[in-house]
Amino acid sequence: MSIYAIIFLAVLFAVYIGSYMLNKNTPKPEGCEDMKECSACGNFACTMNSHHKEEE
Amino acid sequence: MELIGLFVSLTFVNNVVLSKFYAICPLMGLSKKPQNALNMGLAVTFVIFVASIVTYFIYYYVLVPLEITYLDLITFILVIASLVQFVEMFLKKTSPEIYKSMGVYLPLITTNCAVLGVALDNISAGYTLIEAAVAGLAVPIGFAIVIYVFATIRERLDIADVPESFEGAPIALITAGIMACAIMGIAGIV
Repeated sequence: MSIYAIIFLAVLFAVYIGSYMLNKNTPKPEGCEDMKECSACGNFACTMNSHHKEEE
Repeated sequence: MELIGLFVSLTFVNNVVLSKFYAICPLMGLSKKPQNALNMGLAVTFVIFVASIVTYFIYYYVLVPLEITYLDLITFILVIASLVQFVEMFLKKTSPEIYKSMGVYLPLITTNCAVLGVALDNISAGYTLIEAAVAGLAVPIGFAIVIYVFATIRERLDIADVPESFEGAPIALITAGIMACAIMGIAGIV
C-alpha cells in the first residue's frame, strides 16, 4: 500500500506544480497587468504585501 | 428539511469564524473596508464550495479504495492549492472583471484554514455528497456574512472615540468576542 501512497503523492505534487506553472504563464487580462497590491494586513512575509512593491 | 437545518446550523449557530475560530487571519486582515470583505467572502465561497465537492470525491473514490486515508491532510492541502491556481487561471481567461475585483485575494485563500477545515470536517462528520455540498455553501456564506458585518463595525470604530490603548487590533478582537457571544444566543433555535 505504501507504493500507492508514494505514487499518489507524486501525482498530487505534479498536478500542483503543473497548475502553478500554467497559472504563472497565463497572461493577466487587459487592465489587470499592474494591479494594486494588497494592503489589507501588515504581514510582511506575504508576497502580496504592498511593502514588497515599494521595495522594487 | 434536514438540509435546511444543516445550512442554518453551519451558517449561524456553528459559524466557522465565531464558534470554531477558523479564518481569523482574513477576518482581522481584510475587514478594514466592507468592499474588500465582500470580495474576499465571494472568493472564499467559490473556492470552499468547489473544494468540498472535489475533496469528497478524492477521499471516497481514491483514498478509501487504496487504503491510504492517512494521507487526507496533505492531499487536501495540495488539492486546495492546485484548485486555487486553476480558479485564478480560469478567471484570468474568462472573467477579467471578476479577476480584477478579487484577483489579489485569490492566492490568499490557499492559506485560509476554513477551506481545509470544511474539507476535513465533511469527512469526519461522515456527510453524503449532497450534505458536503450544502456544508460547502453554508460555511463560506457564514464566513462572508461575519467578515462583512465585522468590516462595517470596524468602519464605525475608526471614527469612534476609543481609548488609546484599545485602538486597532484590541478593540477589533473585543468586537469579535461580542459577536461570538451574539451568535451563541441563537444556538437553541436550530
